[in-house]
Amino acid sequence: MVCLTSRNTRRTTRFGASHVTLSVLITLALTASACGVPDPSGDREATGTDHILNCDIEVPVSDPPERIFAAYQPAIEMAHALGVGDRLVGTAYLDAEVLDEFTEAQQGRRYYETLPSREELLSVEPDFVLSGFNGAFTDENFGTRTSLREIGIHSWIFSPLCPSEDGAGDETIDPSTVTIEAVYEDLRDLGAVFGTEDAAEDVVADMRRTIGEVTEALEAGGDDVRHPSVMIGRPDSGGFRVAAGPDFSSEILSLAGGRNAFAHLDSKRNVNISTEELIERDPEHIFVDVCCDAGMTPADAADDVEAVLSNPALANVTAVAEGNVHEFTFANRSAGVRSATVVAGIAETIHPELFE
Amino acid sequence: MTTQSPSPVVAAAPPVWSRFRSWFTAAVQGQGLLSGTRSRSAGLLGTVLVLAATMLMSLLIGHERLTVDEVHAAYFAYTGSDTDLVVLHLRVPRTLVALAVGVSLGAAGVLVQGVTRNPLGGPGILGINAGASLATVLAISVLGVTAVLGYVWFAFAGAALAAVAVYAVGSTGGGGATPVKLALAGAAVTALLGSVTSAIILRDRASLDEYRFWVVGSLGGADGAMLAEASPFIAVGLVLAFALTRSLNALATGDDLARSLGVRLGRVRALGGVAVVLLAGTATAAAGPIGFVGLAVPHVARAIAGPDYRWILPWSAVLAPALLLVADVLGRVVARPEELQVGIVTALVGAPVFIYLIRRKRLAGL
Amino acid sequence: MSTPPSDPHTSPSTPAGTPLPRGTRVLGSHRLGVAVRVYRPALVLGCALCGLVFAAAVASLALGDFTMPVTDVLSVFTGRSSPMQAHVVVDMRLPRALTAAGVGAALAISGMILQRLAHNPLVSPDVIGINAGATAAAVCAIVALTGSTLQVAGAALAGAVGTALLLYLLAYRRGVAGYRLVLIGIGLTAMLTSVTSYLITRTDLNTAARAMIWLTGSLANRSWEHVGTIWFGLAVLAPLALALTRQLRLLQLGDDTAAALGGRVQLARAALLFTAAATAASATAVAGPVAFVALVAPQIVRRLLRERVVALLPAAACGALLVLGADLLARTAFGGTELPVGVLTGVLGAPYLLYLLTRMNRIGQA
Repeated sequence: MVCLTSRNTRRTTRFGASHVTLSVLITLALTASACGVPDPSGDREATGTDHILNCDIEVPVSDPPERIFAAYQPAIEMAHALGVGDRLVGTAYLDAEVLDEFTEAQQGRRYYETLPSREELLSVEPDFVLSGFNGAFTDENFGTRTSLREIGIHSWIFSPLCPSEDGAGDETIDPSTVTIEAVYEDLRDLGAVFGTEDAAEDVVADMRRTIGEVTEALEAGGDDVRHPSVMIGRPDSGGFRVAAGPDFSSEILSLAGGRNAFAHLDSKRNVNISTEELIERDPEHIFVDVCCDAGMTPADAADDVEAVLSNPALANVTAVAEGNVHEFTFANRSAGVRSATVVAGIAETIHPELFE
Repeated sequence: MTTQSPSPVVAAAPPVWSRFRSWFTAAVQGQGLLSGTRSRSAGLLGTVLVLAATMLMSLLIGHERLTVDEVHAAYFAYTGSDTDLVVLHLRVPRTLVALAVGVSLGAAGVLVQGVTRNPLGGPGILGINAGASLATVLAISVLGVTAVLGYVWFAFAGAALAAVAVYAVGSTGGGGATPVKLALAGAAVTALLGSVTSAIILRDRASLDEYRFWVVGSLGGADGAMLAEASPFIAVGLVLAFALTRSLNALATGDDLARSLGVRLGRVRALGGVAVVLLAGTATAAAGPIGFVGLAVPHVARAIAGPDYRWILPWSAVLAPALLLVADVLGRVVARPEELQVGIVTALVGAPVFIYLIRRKRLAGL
Repeated sequence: MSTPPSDPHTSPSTPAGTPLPRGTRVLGSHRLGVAVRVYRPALVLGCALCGLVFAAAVASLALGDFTMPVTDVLSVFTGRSSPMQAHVVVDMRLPRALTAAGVGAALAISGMILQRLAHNPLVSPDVIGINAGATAAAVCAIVALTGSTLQVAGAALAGAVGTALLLYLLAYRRGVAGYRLVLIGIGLTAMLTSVTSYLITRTDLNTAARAMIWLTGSLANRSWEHVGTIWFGLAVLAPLALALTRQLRLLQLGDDTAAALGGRVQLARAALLFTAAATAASATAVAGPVAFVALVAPQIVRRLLRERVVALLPAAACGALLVLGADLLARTAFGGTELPVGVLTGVLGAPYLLYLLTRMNRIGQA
């Protein structure tokens, strides 16, 4: 499935040579890490060593890291989910509160509100840096992954988010390759790296079960189940910023039995639209995604939800007219271990009749 | 932009025009007769028509193209349809806010240039934008103001403080507030406030996320409430501005001559400053920092209507909203489905005009 | 014709205490008798500043978020430290300090040349758009391309040189007057800043944060590549600047005098402008637009020397000291995260500029 997705992406790419190269690289990376052999241990056999390739950079599996630094929400939560929370020597850059089950484990951890300097990173003496996005490994922050490896620190970027080259930023990825299957792959690979394969299998099984229940409920509803159009976004000065086609939101929404009302905007992950565009697309549900603070909860979206509901220009929009404007967080949009529960939550919100 | 017969006419005007002229100048300026009024008045009327046309464009052109009938129907045959809502709650408020902001920026630019005798005067160059930006960031990050309508008062206060600081620094020392000193004081204050702004937003991601969209200046968030809040300030500012035009003319002759003509310099400068803060501060609070309208338009007005501030002010107040509306409509259509914020379009359109003017004029003499 | 009004003020007293007309003294600085008087303080100051730079560099090696005792820092150089300590000192702190020194020196040289060229102490690459051009291009590379180190540096270089070229062409009207250069530079800055703001609204938050850091001016994680780039630039451009100082002194006498004394006025101006632009560009390429150093460093040196000599090397040392000191503060004073150095230089430098402004005379000369 992952391979299929990436090939599709490559076919629809419109941005010239660099993006084609990018797609090829991603396809190659995925082929190496995901599609070669179904069994996760096959990756190691494929490369002929005891390494897994993550974004073209070798990560050893023989030598589990003891001191892990996790940057960004998805990485921090994945580390906790894999049972290596006690090995976290530092965490940084949460977009919202961590999942309830990790609150306690996260409390004892050293936390930085923004990414610390490279020196500060080195001062906590990590032997592994796990990043949920790829903004961490640029000159402005930790430095490239190669430069970290030279001093014995291995690293990992969620593999579907590979930049086109080491040290490059977020804009160079092709987020349409971010699928739930890719999250499972990362979990298994990281389980192998951390020596916690069993925990990884458990998490994957859990997530599959949760999403499977949603899928079953949707199938049980038969052909009567409509897939409502859903917007994930928030008001900003001058209009709205919405999750567009390539964002992981589209995958979440389709798993939850909905569809992204702005899937047709395929140039980037977040697109600013005018209020008139919102009126025209007429979503049936709106999820307002607040961001970015370690204490944030969906309840922090209340003001923005109220602003949407009370905007007279939006009175005819189905979601507003029917009171279907919901509190949400940006963290819920990111690919990670919380994605399964997010899918279930959205499904229950947009298909209340199926989950009684 | 089309304007009619900009050159002043020296010959005596025919009786009809003479009467119209008396009426018009009386209406616009309170009193006074000017030579060459005929063509200036006619040109101004023509420009008002151009402004009206741009307002109509702003009502009709957007995400969906509307017809005049649909706009009319929203008011006189309201059915609550999407089109009605778009007209009533989006297009009309946006157009009116653009008008108010444009008039304010145009008038504020004239005042700044007149009071400081500085052809480089403009809200942006006087640090008003930087002040409003810092205050807005402080409001977002320290006080947690997030609601869509929350920034207005902070932006206003910041703009006022920055303008006072720039003028105070620029007018200290020998020679008073000369063009280069004010421009550089503005640059320094802008840089200082900008550094503090950067320091805050780089340590607070949520603020960065809000700020980066506010700072470019946009009319997309305009609504009726904003218009209602802004109007009184703008009205007072405009009354002050028109009341000051004669004094500005006297000021243009130099401090000594102005004093001998009975102008009380301190009072004119103070009132002018108050009017600028009211006008530019409100405009920035309503639409974010919109560059170059206040700077470039008075120059165009001066070029068309001559050096008399009683003419420069109304010309500016009509041309500026026309420019702003054209820029806003352009911004709606060139980058669809996204909108190009009006502040970006005005800077890209306005800066070349500014540079052209500097190339043309010998500013060193001013 | 294209020079600004000649300045009638007298220069500060010479060390001997005799006020001399400016022209005489500066001209005299070529001849041995006076040259000794002028250059000895400069030499002393240069040596003192170099000593301070060295001290600041040593402090930079010893201090940082990665805490280690001074003895460990020393043992790095005797080869008996842990690999991690060696990495921090040799691969991080040392190249960063060298880059900081190089950037400061380059900015100061650029500022010194531009200030003398424009006959205005407040002109610097920040004000006339060179930094804004570099920023717009670099942010474009970050947002639209992959934003690798090489791309960002290359784009910044191209942007700075391109803007300088544009500035020169736009300001050229039978020669380039300092005055027009400044005003057109301010216009270009506003336009390019608008482009930068626009680019930042078009990208995701992580990339926006990255771009914000870059455009504030940062020395985070500068490596030996950056050291090579900036010091190669200096090695080429500093001798060129030194060779051109004679032309600079001639130009300060006014165009007519300079021409009479055998200077090729316009050619010299163009050469000086591009040397200044290229020097600033090489600094901006490795560190982003670090605010105010180009402006403040030459001023400090001038005030310390109490002379109007073109003291390039002391100014360079002073710039190096400023950037090193500000960066040391930026990376140690704010806990585990660091601020970009440009925030510090802006917050520290702008008040100094404001202070200078309050002491200026009418045409903007201190």
